[in-house]
Amino acid sequence: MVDQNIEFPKNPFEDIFPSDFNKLNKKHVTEDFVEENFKSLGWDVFRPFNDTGIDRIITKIICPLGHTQINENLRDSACPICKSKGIEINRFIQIKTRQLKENLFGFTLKSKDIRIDPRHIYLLYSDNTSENKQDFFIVSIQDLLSFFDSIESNPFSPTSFRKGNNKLNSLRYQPQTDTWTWNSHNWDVFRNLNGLKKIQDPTIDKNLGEEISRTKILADKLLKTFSKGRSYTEDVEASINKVLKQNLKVKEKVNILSLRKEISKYLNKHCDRSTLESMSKYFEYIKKLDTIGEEKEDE
Amino acid sequence: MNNDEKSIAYAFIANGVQIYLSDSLNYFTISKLICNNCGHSWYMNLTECFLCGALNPFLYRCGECGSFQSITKSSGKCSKCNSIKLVTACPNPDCLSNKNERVFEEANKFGGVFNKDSGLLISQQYCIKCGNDTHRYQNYKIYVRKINKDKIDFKDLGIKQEEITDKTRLIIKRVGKNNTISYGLLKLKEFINKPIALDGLRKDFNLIAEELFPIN
Repeated sequence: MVDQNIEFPKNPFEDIFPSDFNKLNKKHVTEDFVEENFKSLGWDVFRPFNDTGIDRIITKIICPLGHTQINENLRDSACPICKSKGIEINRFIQIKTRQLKENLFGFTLKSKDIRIDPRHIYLLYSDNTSENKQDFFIVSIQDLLSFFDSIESNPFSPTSFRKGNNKLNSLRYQPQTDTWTWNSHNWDVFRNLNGLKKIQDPTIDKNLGEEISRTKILADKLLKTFSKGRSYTEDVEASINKVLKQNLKVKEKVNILSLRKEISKYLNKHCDRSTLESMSKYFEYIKKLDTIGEEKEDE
Repeated sequence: MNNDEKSIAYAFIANGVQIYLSDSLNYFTISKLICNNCGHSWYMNLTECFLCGALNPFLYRCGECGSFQSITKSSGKCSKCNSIKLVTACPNPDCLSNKNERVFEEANKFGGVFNKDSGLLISQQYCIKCGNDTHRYQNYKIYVRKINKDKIDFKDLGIKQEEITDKTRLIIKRVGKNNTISYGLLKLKEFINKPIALDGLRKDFNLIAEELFPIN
């Protein structure tokens, strides 16, 4: 049971209210707000040198059997309950801060946001649930995919997801009951201390390989389907889904490697030298974006 | 972050590694998204064809004469036939987007598979080296110390023992004669309360990055 006496999140900055900032100038203060809240519960928090998509890395030493309290860090001491030596856990956090509009928390997920390492965490921060109230939703990629799979809803099949403009508008605050729902499904399980407790579970750290595979299966099930939306016809939708289904059955490492080798030969045959050089330069530039962080995340 | 640490941080960035800093701790964290099989870098900004897995070649293809040309040098017209029908097509001739007429037409309405508006491209799904389809984060805690002796004691490093975990590494920077710099990499847990001999230093920082993020 999570200790509900702990106030989390709590405004760490006594001279301001989160509502003093608007969407144009709030990125820094909201990420600091998140950071200070994690620190207050014993996490070590690291911020990016360059803005590259992961907004914070948080680490903690906890009991491998899950005995560590939510506001405790074992550091170099053993678990006071079972005497086990602590293990270090790391979580990679992507923060999305939004102000409610008619009690809706809308946010966008792009295909590059879907990392299948289950230590990847989305932190949805409602900075103005009410005048003096803020809420965090702390959800691992695995839990997010499991949630959509369990409710048979797939926000990743529309073309808008791959276009990068698929705004998810289903997370709603219910002021009468002070609860949050995703459509009709309760989301308080991910809210504040409940969400924090979930990501402190050491299961994924002890079985990382298996948990990555589990996340990948869920991701494939949801991401490798195609909804035509208003952009494509039903014929095209059916043809694409047929191919995607075949790919999931036969796509082995060797297939993708040989396919890419054949394409490379094909391009070498059909492009002149300057085109190939330009292609290669641009390819290197795109690869560098992951570390130099030139692209901005959407708001 | 002092200048020695900052210099090492930039050396990591040049090697495709991301840096994360703490307000209160005197070490920093490095992280990289890598292939779960071979350890090669994984790039979320790189895109693939959603239908066949071909990598984005960043090329236009002319809808009239079929020739390829650079997207960065394009004037908006085909350099061979002057057509303005340039699309970012999938380079795989056997891809559904090229073989199925309806898919071809509908994808090209949006500028081709690799035009963002088509919704037929997706972030990297397969490793560019081994073709594996899973990735993970690899991270370390990094201390940097500049040392000009052949031997040093753990206690002289000024590092708190309780901060050291399996992921903690010490990078030793040694400036020799003629200002030549060499680097050492130590798994700090193995040297707690022990003397450290500075041998086997590397002249090239890239070797340190390769040791931390090896590719199999």
